[in-house]
Amino acid sequence: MEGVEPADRDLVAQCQNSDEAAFDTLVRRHQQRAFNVAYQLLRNREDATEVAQDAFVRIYRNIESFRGECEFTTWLHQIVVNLAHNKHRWWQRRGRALTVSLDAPVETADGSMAGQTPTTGGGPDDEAAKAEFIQTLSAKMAALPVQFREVLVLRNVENLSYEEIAGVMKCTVGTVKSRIARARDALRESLKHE
Amino acid sequence: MSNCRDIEKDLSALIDGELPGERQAEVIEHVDHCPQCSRRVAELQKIVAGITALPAAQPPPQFLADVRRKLRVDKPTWVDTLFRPVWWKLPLEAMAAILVIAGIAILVQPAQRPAPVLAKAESAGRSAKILSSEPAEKVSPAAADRMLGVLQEPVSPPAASQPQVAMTGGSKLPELPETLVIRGDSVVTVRLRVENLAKELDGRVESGAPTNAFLVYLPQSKVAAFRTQVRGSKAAVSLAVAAKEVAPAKAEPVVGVKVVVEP
Repeated sequence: MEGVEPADRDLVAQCQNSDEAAFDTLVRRHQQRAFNVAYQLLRNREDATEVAQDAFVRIYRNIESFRGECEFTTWLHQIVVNLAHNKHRWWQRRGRALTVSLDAPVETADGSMAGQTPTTGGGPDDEAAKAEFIQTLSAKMAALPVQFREVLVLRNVENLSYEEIAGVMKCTVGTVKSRIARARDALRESLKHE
Repeated sequence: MSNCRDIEKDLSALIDGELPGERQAEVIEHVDHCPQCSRRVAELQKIVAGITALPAAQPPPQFLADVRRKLRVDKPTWVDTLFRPVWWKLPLEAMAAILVIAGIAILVQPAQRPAPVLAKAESAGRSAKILSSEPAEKVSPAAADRMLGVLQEPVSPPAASQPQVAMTGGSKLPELPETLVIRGDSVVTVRLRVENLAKELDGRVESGAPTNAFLVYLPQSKVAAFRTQVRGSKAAVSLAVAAKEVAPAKAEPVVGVKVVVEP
């Protein structure tokens, strides 16, 4: 039927039959998701671009091994999180810690800009306060241990369920629940000192 | 009613709607009556809203083109295919290599034993050893040919038409009853000369590092020519034919001559 987007699993099947166009469609469909997750974990556009692109390269090379036991997006998240984790450790070994200044603007696609949140009908003061809060929150998140950032991004940026996060991180739902609770508590404590 | 400490650990899951029904009702009831936990829920909700509102970062416009370029440039090499990831492929391949080498060694071992023709010659004890300072002229071609007759023993046929004899295995020469002794030249010089001569006569010299004793394999019909030409050199002192292998009916028999260089 014309106009209906093919499902991910159909595109994967086409890729497995050497359909290059199907792979391009998969990349176009999920590049924003892959890049954003990588960016929220690494807070650096260059690193995030490299990680997200390498994730698709890895998918292309291993497409034959994908048997559809999980969603394509779960597989993509797994690879992006793993590569971002590796990149983070790589920088740690070289002494570059992930830190975001409280004064630093929240970075977006077009470069740097202050954090913008959806308008909820508040006045200009409310908007300014909200933007400032998001800026602070962004910096505090960057200071969290990487495993805390991972669960928070997967839960609140990617909107995955606990079970889906457990699938991505290859751990139990109990671990995910406990890690999310600890990560938010850590953020809450950290924000108290502002 | 549950205490706050027991409830706190479930507040995040409550916000996410990830608590089972019964537990959810229990936690909600507590929060409704506990100002401290209620405040905590509000703080957590604010944090969740803040993370959700983080601006989504957009990938660069040439993202797909760059992925395509990487797929072309980062094409895995044979090294990548064979050895990566190193942590599991290399040990596995090393083990496989050891097994293959061990297997080959076991298979090759019988072939390295002295050939029947040479062993027979030794056991026969019919030594016609002329490894001495006596001039080569004292051993006539006819006598040498007779020796060949003594040593004639059928062996398995060679695989190719190229002259072949039973190999002696490495550089260790069997005790041959007949030997050509050359004096006055260095091992390398003699070896080079003999190699050239053997090549001209469709023969070959046993491979391996130059030592003072080595075998030359020649077609039987070329032995006389070899004898004459080697004898023509100033250093040739004595010569005898060492061993002979009878090749299949159509192929010419090949003869081994032991050359010893003495200072």
